[in-house]
Amino acid sequence: MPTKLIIGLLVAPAIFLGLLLSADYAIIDVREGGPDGMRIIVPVPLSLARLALNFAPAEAKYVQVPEIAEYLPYAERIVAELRDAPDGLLVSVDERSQHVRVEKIGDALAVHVEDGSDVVDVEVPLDAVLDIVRSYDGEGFDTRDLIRAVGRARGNVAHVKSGDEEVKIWVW
Amino acid sequence: MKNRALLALALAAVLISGGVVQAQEQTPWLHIRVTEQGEDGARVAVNLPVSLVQVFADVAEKELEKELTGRGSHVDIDMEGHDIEIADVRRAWAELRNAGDAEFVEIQEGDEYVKISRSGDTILIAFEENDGAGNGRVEVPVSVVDALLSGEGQRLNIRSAIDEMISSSAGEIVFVEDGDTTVRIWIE
Repeated sequence: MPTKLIIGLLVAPAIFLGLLLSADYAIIDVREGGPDGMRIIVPVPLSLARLALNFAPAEAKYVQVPEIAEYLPYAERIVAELRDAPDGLLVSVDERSQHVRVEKIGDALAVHVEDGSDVVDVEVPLDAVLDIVRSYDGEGFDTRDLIRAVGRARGNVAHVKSGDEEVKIWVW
Repeated sequence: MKNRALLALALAAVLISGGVVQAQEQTPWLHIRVTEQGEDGARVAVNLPVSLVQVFADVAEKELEKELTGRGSHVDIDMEGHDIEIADVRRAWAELRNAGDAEFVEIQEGDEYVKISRSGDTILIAFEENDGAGNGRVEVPVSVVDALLSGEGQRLNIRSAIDEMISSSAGEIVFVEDGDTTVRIWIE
């Protein structure tokens, strides 16, 4: 009996460690401004995040948007057309210190928004968008599916800079 | 033998890549530019593959369908308070389209001047404000108007009009200069 317990105690962390090592990670890097600003780096295994959502309140598990149901087939077509399109600048808006760029780069859409000292860069893989669109069940989205879709991204996903404060999210 | 196989593979790769490049080059894009004069003026550029524009046209058509349902299948064009029914436009177009080159409408009201005419296969809509505040022109191929009005009753066939615009025209479709703002729409 004690031998089995010891084996169990050894195997369980090994399985847990294996899960962690094989999982997709979102690395969240938060940097506060100023000389004494803190820097926090949080690696979030996406599989564990999905698992943790099982214990979250119902409203966190599901995003209800029934009003978009009729547009979902169009969204799927838009993604398909964008995938087939060559790379290039799709939209750019410049007005004083405000700048917006939407660009197709490879299989991703890159969005850049700049407003004075605030800068937001987001890179969305089209496959992830397609996954999200397809996970729609006619009423809304399961947030676990959204996290799974985020796992499709690789590299820098988001970068938000406001003054000297910064948040970076990347997935690997 | 091995060299020939390599040569054949290289040739095939060149042909395939050439075909892909050609296919990409042939895909027309819709371009929109809005430019405001001055250092602080806004500049907007939109470049979309027309195949994507067609999807948006389908969405617009769906929205129009909803509008029709909500308004008892009655849609009209609001011209500064004067409603013109689409069915009336269709009837007028049926009469005018075979008239050949002509000036259909010429309105001078105060400082504003509007002229709608046909030149060859193109309908030209030109407007001008005499105080120099703005002027513009819209050029629409006759076949696009045909396609737009090819629906029934009060319905506009937007999808068909866009398809026709893509297949029949390349170049500038809309040019508007209104005071400090310039708008250009073209397909290339």
